[in-house]
Amino acid sequence: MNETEIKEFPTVLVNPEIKLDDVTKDIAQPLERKPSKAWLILLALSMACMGVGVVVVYYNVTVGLGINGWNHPVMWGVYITNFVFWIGIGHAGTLISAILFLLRQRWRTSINRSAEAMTIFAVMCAGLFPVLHIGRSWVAYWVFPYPNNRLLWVNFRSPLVWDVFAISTYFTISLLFWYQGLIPDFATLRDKATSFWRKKIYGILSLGWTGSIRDWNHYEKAYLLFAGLATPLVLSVHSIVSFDFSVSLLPGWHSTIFPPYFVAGAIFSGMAMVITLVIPMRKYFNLKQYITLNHLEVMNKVILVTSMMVGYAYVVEFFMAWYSGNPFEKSMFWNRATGPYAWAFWIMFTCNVIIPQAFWFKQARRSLVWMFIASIFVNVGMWMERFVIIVTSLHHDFIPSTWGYYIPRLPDMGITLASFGLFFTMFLLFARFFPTVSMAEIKAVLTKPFNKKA
Amino acid sequence: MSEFHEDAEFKKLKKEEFLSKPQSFFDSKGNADITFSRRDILKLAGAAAVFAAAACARRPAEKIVPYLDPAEEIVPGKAVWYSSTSDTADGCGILVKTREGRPIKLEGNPDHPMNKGTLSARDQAAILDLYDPDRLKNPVKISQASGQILKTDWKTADSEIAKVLKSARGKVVLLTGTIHGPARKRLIRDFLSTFSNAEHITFEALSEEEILEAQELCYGNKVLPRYRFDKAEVLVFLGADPLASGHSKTEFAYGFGHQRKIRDGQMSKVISFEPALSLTGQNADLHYLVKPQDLVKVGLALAHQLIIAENKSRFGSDIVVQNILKDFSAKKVEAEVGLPDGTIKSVVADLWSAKGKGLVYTGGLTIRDNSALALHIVTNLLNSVLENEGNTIDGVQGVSQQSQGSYSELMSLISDMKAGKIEAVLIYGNNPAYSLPKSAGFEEALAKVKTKVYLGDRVDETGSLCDFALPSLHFLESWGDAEPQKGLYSLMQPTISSLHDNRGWEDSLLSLMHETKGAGLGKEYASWHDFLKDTWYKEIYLKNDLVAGFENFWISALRQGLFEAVDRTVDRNSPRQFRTGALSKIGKIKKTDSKFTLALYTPAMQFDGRANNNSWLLETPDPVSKIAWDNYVKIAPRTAAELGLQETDVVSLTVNDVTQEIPVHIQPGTHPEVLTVAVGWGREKVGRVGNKVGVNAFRWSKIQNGHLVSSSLPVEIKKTGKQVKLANVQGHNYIEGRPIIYEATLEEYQKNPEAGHEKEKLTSMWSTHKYEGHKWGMAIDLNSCIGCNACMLACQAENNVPVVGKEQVWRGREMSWIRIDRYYSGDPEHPEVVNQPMLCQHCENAPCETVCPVIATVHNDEGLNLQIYNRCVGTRYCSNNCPYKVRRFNWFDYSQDLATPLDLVLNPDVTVRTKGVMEKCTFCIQRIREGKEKAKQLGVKVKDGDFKTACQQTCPAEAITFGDLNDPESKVSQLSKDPRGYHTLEALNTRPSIAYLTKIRNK
Repeated sequence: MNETEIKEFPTVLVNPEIKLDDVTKDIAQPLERKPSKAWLILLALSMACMGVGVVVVYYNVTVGLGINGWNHPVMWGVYITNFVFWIGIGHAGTLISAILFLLRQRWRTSINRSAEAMTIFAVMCAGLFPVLHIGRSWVAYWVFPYPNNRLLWVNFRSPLVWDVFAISTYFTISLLFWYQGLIPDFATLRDKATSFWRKKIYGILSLGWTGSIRDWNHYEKAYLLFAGLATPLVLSVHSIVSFDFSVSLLPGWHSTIFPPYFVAGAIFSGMAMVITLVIPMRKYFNLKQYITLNHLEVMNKVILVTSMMVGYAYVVEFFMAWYSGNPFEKSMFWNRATGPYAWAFWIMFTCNVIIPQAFWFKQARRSLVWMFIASIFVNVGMWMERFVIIVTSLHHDFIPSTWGYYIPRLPDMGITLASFGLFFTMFLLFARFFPTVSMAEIKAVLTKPFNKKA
Repeated sequence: MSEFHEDAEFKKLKKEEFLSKPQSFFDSKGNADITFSRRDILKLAGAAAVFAAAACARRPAEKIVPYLDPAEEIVPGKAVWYSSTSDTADGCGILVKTREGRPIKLEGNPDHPMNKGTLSARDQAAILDLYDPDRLKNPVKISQASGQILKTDWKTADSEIAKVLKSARGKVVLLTGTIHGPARKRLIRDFLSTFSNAEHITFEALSEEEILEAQELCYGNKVLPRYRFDKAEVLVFLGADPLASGHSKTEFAYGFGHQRKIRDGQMSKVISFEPALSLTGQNADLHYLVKPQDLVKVGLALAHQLIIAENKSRFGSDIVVQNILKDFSAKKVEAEVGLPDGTIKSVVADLWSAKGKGLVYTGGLTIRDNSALALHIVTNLLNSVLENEGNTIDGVQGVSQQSQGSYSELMSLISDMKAGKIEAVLIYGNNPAYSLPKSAGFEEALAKVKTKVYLGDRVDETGSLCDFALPSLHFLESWGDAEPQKGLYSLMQPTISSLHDNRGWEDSLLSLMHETKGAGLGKEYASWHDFLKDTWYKEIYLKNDLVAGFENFWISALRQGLFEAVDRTVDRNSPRQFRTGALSKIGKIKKTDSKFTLALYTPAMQFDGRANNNSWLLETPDPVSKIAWDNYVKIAPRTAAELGLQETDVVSLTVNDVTQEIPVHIQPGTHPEVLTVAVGWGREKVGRVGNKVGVNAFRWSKIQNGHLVSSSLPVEIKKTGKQVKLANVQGHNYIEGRPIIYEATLEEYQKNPEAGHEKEKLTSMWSTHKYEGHKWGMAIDLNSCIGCNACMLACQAENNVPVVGKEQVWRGREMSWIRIDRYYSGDPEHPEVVNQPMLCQHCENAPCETVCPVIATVHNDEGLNLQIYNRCVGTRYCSNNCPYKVRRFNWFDYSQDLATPLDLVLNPDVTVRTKGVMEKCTFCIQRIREGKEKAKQLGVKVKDGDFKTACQQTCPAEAITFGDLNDPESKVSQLSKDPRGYHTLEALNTRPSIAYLTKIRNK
């Protein structure tokens, strides 16, 4: 089916011609056919990228972190950039599924499943980096406050410990929330399954769902509760991640604007990543009627708003640096925009603030090509933002004699590539084995769900 | 080592391998607490058997050696100290710390009148040479035809060499470096007398022979005076860098630092005229850039101003003096050499105001051009006129012997060798094949000598040209003596038995003597030790009226490490008469046509390159450029811009038809027409660490009329288009007006002692932590710190700080716990310099502590910020949050890279860190603990100064003071309260335990 504009959006959310059985057929169809060649190639490619990461980690553990580009004073670099980047990506999913749910934004139904999946995978990617970047990753479990006979405890004053709790909570809730939403769909797949193993596996995954009124009653209540639980987490996780920086006393990090700035940035990058993923997905899995241009347009509006929020944060940081009269802050921000890392700053600024301004125009908001390109730029820009925050602040701090310059080396790039490999591997597997759009929820928003008997 | 422990009792016990009477053994020690009955012994034996049996199953076949026959003085876990003497020409007194029989740290001997307990960076690093894996491990024979190195044994080598020496018809020459010990000198005399035709030639690549020559011309005696920096209030340096490379640099640094301290509102004034910023120059209050060939004019102008213009001296009426000086009026010279108007006059005023308490000093490589002798003569004239001669210059009482050797002697040796007059040559303590320009023809000449014996510790550039290499011992393995200044005798004693099958060069000479004379003849000394002891008996003990018996004298000399034949506390110095006839030697001052001239200089760390397999020294950055692991040509910023050169560009320099490629370093404070390069780099055959590191700048020097010319060399500079990495540890050279270092002029300070800095008013929501017992703290006087890096090396040795190599330093991963930050201020062409030792500040509100997730860095109740290595997981957050950036991360497993036996140098009291953990300065917590435990054992309180941190202990300028801030009487708490005291980045409210004292400039 070609792209159609739904004039009544958001009252009418999907193509009004779609009937109930179309939904099941269309959405389950990519799961039931043989994998396409393109899918297999992409999966192989993603797994190869992941393999690069395995090599890097092997050398990091056996040889040491010295093979990477870190130095004194830039002791954090690409690994933490990736960490914050992926955490940011991991924001859109829960935002869409929980906050938009509570706000009764029903257009979320078409994209919440893939956005949530993206969240889970992004948080998994993110969670690897704090472990991999530490000097002795084999004792990374020491950051958990577990009872031990050495009477060792963790430092609850350290933002890194807050991170541990924030991220593990966020991951757990997001995973459960996502899984709960999947249960009715798993049951549908179970019922549709023809092979023994399919039936068994989807049967186990569907946890004995019968579709009874009682089931639905519990389901809806639990869904609301999860949504309520997840909503503060959306705000808290990135706020806490931002504390890693704002709690320190480094100029460029030590800033009260960080929590809202980071949350806005996270939603910004998360939305962009959803766009990046959904455009090819709706095309190749033939979901254009469910994920319509109207959906994408709404998301582009969110991108525009959050882009201006991060843009404001960038500018206000410079203003505050000047207004505070703090010589370290002033020199730090001047150096950020004009110093050795000016290239990174201006890439970030262009990608995040200038390019999304195109979404003021409806044509841009509804152009698949333009929004795809813009979403890639936003992803790059948001990666750069974290790089700029981390590296430019560290490389010129208080004592000039220690100033240095950091360039990511091959292992740094390898691990970044690998995190994308891991992310896409999981996303490709998800797209093959899990329904990428919530069948149950879509069925509830159809305009004319039944075929009138002629 | 066991000399004075080997009493009769011990020897007897040693013979009894199995102690049949344990009771008597324990009793014999007179230790009443330990009494074992027969039963206890049986019990212990039984238990031992059980444990031994239990261990049998799992113990691999590694052979362990128990203390069956323990040396009495070795108690595991307890350090034993021996006094000794540094083997460098300046001969500082040292104490050697040994643990379980191996030397691990050198410290200055506090009783030694020269260095007074302090030690230079190079002397600190000398301990690493002991464990150098590239030392020869046995004597070798080198085939000159094939270049093969064959292992041999001492007997064969001795007899083969002796055979040649016995039948020698030509001359036998012993070529050594500076040697001043009475026993060593006597040994050489005896050795020479064994042969009918033998000669001893002394050669040092970096000697101060022009000082001696000028002294002879001016005062009639060829001596190297003792320069009293400790008495000099106004110092004028003419191209010299005595703090980095002076012949008695530790003594100079001590005296210099002493005079920089502010006492009663006064301090010394230092004025330096030099072609490029040196370690001494960067400590000068007034620094003027003058080309090396113009230095003599500056000297003459000073003399003109003093003698003719201001008529302050009786020499003013001397016709000779008038004739020499008449063309050098202050105005004219200032215009000629590019000095600001009135410079000469004001310098003369300063010098005259400190008449008899000033010092004009020159020397070193940078002034060694054709006018070097003239410059020394003028310097002597100035010192005589200013009455410094006899006061701050001692040419009578305790004259120095720390720099000997002459190029002219060596050149005549070379021509003799070329003529085939030399039959055999034995070389020790210098490396002419490396340190002479090719044009000197040493290699070709040496090839004409029939038998060449090298007594160094490796087959290096000179060694590989010899037929035999009889590897000598490291000074920590051998006996020896020194007399660095007249009447100041000191001893070297072995602190470990020889690590390899090596033999002291003295022993080698002795056995060659014996072999040559024939069996049974002249074998009066069993060993070099006996020879040494006998010499001390004959030449020192008998010549000084001593009450004690010789054995007591000997033991106390060993224990103290030195013997002073002259009471140096009484000044019996007197001025010598200046002979104006010397001035005729000044002659006409030649001009150089070349636009750019090259001046070589002696690097503070590498000296003449003799220890360039010492990775500690290679990794310690140069105090001026802050670059490690390389030499480079230093070019003024203006000149670099003019030639289109960038930092790290490679240029080719052609001097005397020798072309070599070398990287560029743009050095603020360099004369725009002078390029400078450090010697001591570019060793070819020193070992795995130092081979081919840097460029051998000696190759550019030349020898003219028996003198080294290492300055004012016409040079051609060409860009090559290549680039290299230079491992510069300093990221930025200016403090950008930040509250890191404060400075004031002396005048401002006299008006307001708090000048230069404002105290921050700090508030806190929390009450401050109470420290009930001690609170350790430090005070660092920026006025005294000369930036010599001695503290860095002391810390490296004490705290097992690893070496990471050039590539890693270039990446900014050097591991030093203490570093010297060097900042410029003002015009890059004429910057002012300040040095700041930067180490963990042990903040009360430590930013590192709050952010560590696993509590691996914590505060203790004595104010120390501790790092717990085995808890650290390596998040590196602490380093990011440290405003001072003093934390160092183990990017690799550096300790695994230590080649055997380098691991023996590790201090067992300090954990060797593994990869993936953070480390930093601990205020030498192991020393604090040791001191506290000692005090506890004795039942007394810890006193101020009971223990020192390694950096403080070695600091030649005594810039660092460590102690208890809770003790109001302690030196550190008084200094911290000094009006000059401030904290770095105080506004951050980290409340550091280190107070810095404002830098005061006397200008």
